[in-house]
Amino acid sequence: MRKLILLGLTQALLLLSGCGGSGTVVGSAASTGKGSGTGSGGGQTSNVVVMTVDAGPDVTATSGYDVDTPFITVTVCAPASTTNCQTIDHVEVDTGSYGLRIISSVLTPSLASALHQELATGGNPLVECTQFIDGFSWGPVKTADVQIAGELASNVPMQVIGDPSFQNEIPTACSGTGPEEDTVAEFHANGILGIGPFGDDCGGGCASTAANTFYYTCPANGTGTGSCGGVAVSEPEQVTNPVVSFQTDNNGVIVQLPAIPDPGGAPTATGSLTFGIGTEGNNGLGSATVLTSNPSTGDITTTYNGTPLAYSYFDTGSNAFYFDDNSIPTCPSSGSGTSSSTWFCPTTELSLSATNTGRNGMVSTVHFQIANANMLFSTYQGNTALADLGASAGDESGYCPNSATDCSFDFGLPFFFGRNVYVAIAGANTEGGPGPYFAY
Amino acid sequence: MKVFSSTLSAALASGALLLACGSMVPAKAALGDKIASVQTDQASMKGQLRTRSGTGYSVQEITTASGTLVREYVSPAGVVFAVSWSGPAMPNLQQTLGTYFVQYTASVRSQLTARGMHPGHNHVEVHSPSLIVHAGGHMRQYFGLAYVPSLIPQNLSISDLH
Repeated sequence: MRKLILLGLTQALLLLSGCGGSGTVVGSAASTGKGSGTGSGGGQTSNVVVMTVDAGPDVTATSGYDVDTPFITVTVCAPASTTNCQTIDHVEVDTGSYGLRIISSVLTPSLASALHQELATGGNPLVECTQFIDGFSWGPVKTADVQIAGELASNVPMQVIGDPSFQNEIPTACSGTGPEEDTVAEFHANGILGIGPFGDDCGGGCASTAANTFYYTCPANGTGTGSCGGVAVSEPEQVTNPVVSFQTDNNGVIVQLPAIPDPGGAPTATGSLTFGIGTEGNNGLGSATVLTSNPSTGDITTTYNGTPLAYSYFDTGSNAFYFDDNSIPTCPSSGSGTSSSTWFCPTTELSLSATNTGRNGMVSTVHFQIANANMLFSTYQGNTALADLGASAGDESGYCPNSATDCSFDFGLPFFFGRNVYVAIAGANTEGGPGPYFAY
Repeated sequence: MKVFSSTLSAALASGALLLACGSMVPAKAALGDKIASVQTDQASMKGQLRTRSGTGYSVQEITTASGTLVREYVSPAGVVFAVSWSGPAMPNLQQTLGTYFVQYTASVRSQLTARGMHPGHNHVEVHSPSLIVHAGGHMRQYFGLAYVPSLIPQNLSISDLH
């Protein structure tokens, strides 16, 4: 168990705010991160945590491995405790979600029992059906003290995924959204830290209607799909992006990864996640271009091959560039178990570009490469950091709102190699204006 | 969001079957099902359902209580050959994909546990002769399209849908 050194933290924060910053200055794409250690201990500044792209926590001889998935280590404590704490590695960093979620089986029994259960209106436990695109994660909302590097979020609502007390009463409105991902093996991480551009995971929709499909009130140890009922939850009580609960450095984050070899990538990659934008000596915007986002979705507009795509995003939770371009061949089915994938398999590596526009009218052109995915997976098998991985999102016109064309370009983790990407939280003030925005 | 009270009074006034508003999507055709008739569905879901015509197909658009727009693409023969969704929550895919839900979840699960690299949380691709699914997005904005290739009307392409 790990002690929080609160006095040392205060001193460290005072030192940092007074000086020009220690360690590598964020803003250089060539910076190599804050050290190669896996712990959140020495060798790094208080608002920076080491972030590693690797195979994930559950690799066995017969399992698959994670590609282009970044992880950090977090410390979770019972509220107001400095002794009942647990340091948890391989927590996925996701700009496409908001809030901290930990798989129940990862928690020690003493910590699990000491987290504070949030209650819904009516007095029963608050339980969430977190919806990812590939499935759902079900579990109670509990409050905890969360420490990441030197930053502390006190009494922050988080989710405990797969808590046994609620596993026998998953409502059909939840299980109907897709496969269940409530174990480390299903989730491919010990947990996930959503640090996208919003402070809570659902927003006004979950505050205004009980039929939001995310939040439920459930009796502990209930059984049957009818035990739980949908419930509205105020935004402060929803699962919260811990960054907004930090005392300082709470207006956004910076995701930094080093450049890696083209096309083969690297076995692993080490970068950093920095808290705060323009709040310390090491997190200024510098020459980054600010692209303000859709205030409801966080999306910006990407123009690709002349088509404006208004629901585009920078997502560390996606492991490739996902977009629609039927001039790029997709890989033929292989025997590797990925026959349903749509990886791009151009005959030679493609150099492409896209132009991103914020609601503020700022424009930035991005150049990127797409390599043959089958070549990457065979010649560079085992490399978990791949910068040139792309996949077809298929024709999007069938689902795009108000559009007869495509509408979305997903810049997944490959975009982040060799860049510092700033994510500003909705409503937070920064030196680049208020969030939500992305900048790079 | 539709105003619940006007939906209620309109449905009662028309004598149509009242279907519950809420996270339960009202009884309607799922992917692959034949709808009884567009006019029947439209009357029974008055205020909640919009029907419009494309070239060679019609679309039933339903906004769920969670604010997500679900579209059912219906062939001239009255068969739902494609469904799509866009909005702040996933739809109930068990209801929307109907008999194809089992195949969908099995395919996604097999990809999660396959040898080789895992797909991430924010995309799904299912490509089989009987079912194609593209889904993506992130919290606050989810998208997806599912269709049965053999049910697409002649002379129509998926890229024609909107």
